[in-house]
Amino acid sequence: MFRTIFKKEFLDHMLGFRFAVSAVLCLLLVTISVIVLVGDYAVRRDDYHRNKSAYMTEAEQEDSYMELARHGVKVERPPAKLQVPAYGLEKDPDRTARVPASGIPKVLHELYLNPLLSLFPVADMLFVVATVLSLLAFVVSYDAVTGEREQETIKLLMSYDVPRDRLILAKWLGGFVSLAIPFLLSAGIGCVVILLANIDLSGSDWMAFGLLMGLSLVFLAAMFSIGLFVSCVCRYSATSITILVLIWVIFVLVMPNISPYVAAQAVPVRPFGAVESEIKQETGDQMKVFFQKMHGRRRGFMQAFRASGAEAIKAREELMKTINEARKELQDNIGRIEETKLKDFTRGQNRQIAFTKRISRISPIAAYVYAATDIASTGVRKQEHFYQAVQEYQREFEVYASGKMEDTFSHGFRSFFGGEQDYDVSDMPVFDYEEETLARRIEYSLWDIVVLAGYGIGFFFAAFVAFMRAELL
Amino acid sequence: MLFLIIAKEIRHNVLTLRFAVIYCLFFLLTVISMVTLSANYQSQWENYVRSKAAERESLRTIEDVNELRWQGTMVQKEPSKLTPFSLGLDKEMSRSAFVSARGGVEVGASQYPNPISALFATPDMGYVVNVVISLLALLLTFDAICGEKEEGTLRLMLANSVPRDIILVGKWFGGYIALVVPFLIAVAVGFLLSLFFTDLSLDADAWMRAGTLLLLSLLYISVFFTLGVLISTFNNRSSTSLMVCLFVWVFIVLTVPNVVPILARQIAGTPSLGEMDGRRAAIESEQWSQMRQRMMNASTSDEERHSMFREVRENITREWERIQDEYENKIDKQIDLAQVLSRVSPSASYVYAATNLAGTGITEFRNLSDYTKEYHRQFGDAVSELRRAEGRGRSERTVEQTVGQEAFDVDALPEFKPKGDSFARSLQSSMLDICLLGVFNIAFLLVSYVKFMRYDVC
Repeated sequence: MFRTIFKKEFLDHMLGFRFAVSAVLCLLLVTISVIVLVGDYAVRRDDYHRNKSAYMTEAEQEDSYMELARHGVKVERPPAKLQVPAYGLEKDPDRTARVPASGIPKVLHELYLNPLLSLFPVADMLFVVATVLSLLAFVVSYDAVTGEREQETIKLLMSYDVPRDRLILAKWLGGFVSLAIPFLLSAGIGCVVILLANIDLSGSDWMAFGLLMGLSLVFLAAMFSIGLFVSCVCRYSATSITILVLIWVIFVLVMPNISPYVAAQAVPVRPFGAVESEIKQETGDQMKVFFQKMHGRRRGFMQAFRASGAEAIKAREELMKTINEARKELQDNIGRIEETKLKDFTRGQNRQIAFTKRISRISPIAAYVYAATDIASTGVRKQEHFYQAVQEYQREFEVYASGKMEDTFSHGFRSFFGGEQDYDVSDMPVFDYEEETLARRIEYSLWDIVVLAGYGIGFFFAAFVAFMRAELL
Repeated sequence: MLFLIIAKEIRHNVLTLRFAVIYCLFFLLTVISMVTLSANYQSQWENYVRSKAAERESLRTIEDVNELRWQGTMVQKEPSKLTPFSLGLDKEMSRSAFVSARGGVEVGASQYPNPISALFATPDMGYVVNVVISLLALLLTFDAICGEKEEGTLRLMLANSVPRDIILVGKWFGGYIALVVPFLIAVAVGFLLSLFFTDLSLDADAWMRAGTLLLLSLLYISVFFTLGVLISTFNNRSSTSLMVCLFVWVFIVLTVPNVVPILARQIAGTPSLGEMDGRRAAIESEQWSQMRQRMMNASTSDEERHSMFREVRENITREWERIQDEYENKIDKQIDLAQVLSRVSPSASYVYAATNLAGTGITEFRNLSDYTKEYHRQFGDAVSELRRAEGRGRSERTVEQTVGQEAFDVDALPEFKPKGDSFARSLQSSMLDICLLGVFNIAFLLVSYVKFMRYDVC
């Protein structure tokens, strides 16, 4: 009997006009978005490689290791391979950082760029699932029970010896499968396009992709369960669709969007402009101290440079060492100032982000978007991880630069400043950004996955109970 | 008869559950979004004031002009008053810029520190109109004609001596009023609440912009309203009509504007940032090596060497500006292409016009970047002026006099005040989009008129 009801539900959906429209819409949208985003990935990957070699050339063109250490190396965040299904924060234009040997790496930003991407959201698969398919989940489920009640076919159904639990289970399964089919078809199209475009996904990338699709199914199940629950509770289809549209608008269009602004009010962060000004001021103070120290010794410098003979060379080297140490101290001080100020700011920022996530998780869409972007490595976590990777690289670079400076310094004064010989950066450590392991990403988004699953199970049981107790006849 | 039909339409809409829900939605959404974004404006404004004070404090500790020259100053645009109506590019435009006399402009981080806000669309009034109300307009009209046909009331109505065009116009007006009046009430309530509970206050210019924005929104809503009527005249069953409406809405509102900017980036590429840096470095090294050659070839006096240095520096600046202009032209072409392509969708037109009117659009973004460059020049000039003055003053004062004195007046520095476009200019730059919305409206209306004239009512 279960199979018969399931088959009836399934065919009922499949042969309906709603299904045809939603399947066509879903396939069309996903195809367009995947093709466009795959093209976008190719453009950005080329840009990334070109930038990488340009930054290397820049490092080669420095005059000396000291200049290199002071100016730093530029590093860029490569485009995420899984930007095709979940674009996330990849639209953030801040991708390049300058990493000096000491001090805080600074994110670079162009004065003028194409701002249109920040004006509109990006239509990726995540967006299609979160907005279009979630609406379709409601459109499919709103009359699952109310419709039969209105047509009075439910009486007919109940006249057979079929228990209610079997009936609601079959209804859930039939509806969900007919919802999952267009999604799986479009996911398949996504796979094919990605394969054809040779994005070169590794094993763990494919796993992440699969996980993403699984997560989308869990999300759709949660939305479908909500729809089924409302359908069980309402008497008329018209009421149930209206309530569901209301819920959809609040879950999809209001809650996630408004929560960052509510969080900004509830957990305010110090204005970043003020932090920047303070850093500038305190850095300036340090520089002033440094210059005053150097100024007092100006005469000593001039004498040391003018004198000649073996002793003078030794004195000069001694002097250079002092200057170098003073400079290092200055840089360390500046680094410390920047670090404390920024740490303070980042702590506040992280508190605000955590609060935003907490309040917006009331909407399953928000939980879905957080989990999906984190798994695809295009989310909030990615930014943190990139910054950590840059800091790690900085440590490597500092060791390299100070070692080189020491070497050239021991060759004497000329090579230290002049740099025409001995300057060679071919053995410089290279910034190779590696994504976080999939296990860590899953661990990070576990809470969101749990929330989604909770939604699905909770509302399914609610629908179950409501159906058990509903007055059907 | 027309008024009778209008009154009937209004009653028909107002007395249904659909209307009650839509009204609640409007109210909730518009009020929440207005108040939240007004509060956001207030805190952005406070942040701006605090950052400015901190910067002034930092400038005060600077002891001499030379220090000012390399320390530079941090500037920031004040937030636009109309962000509750349309936040637009305010997030991008709130970036601080570091301006000094020794290098170019360095752009800092945005003053919106929460990256999650980039994951979702901004919930301003423009968004509510663009996404939510356009959907609701379609939900109200999808069965305007075919619904009455299904119920058989269309035949009844036409049995009276009433021409078809009157029915269409009456239905349009009645439904539109029923949709727009609650919207206006909700906007008014949200706006009043924001005026009372936050520091939002508008001047004459801002009032005019807000009023025009509201009119623009009404025009945009009417596009979708007419579209709904049009779709309903093409169908005989309201369930088909509803699905078609949803289909069209997803394409116009959710797909075209969100896909086209990325597509335009592929069609009209721009050089990457690293490429630009490389070109700049190449120009610099070429100029300097040329100078070295010239210095080697002829023995030069100090005077000549100085003028050579200056010449090289000027050359480098000029060349840099030239390639920067080229680069920006390419970006402008990309933006233009994206705009032209996306204007297929009235939703994109609405966003362009609304953000322009709110002073947070692409035009203002461009203006700000130009102004920042201009300010950079002004700052450089002001610093060299101060240096010259100090040079004169130093010879007259003794050392004791200069110690403990402020070396320069902070107020003597030029103020960073990007003057936005005037209202007339903003209106002019959004005229194309406004006209397009008008054209969409008229075209949809005409087609639905023709279609309804030949509509099979039985």
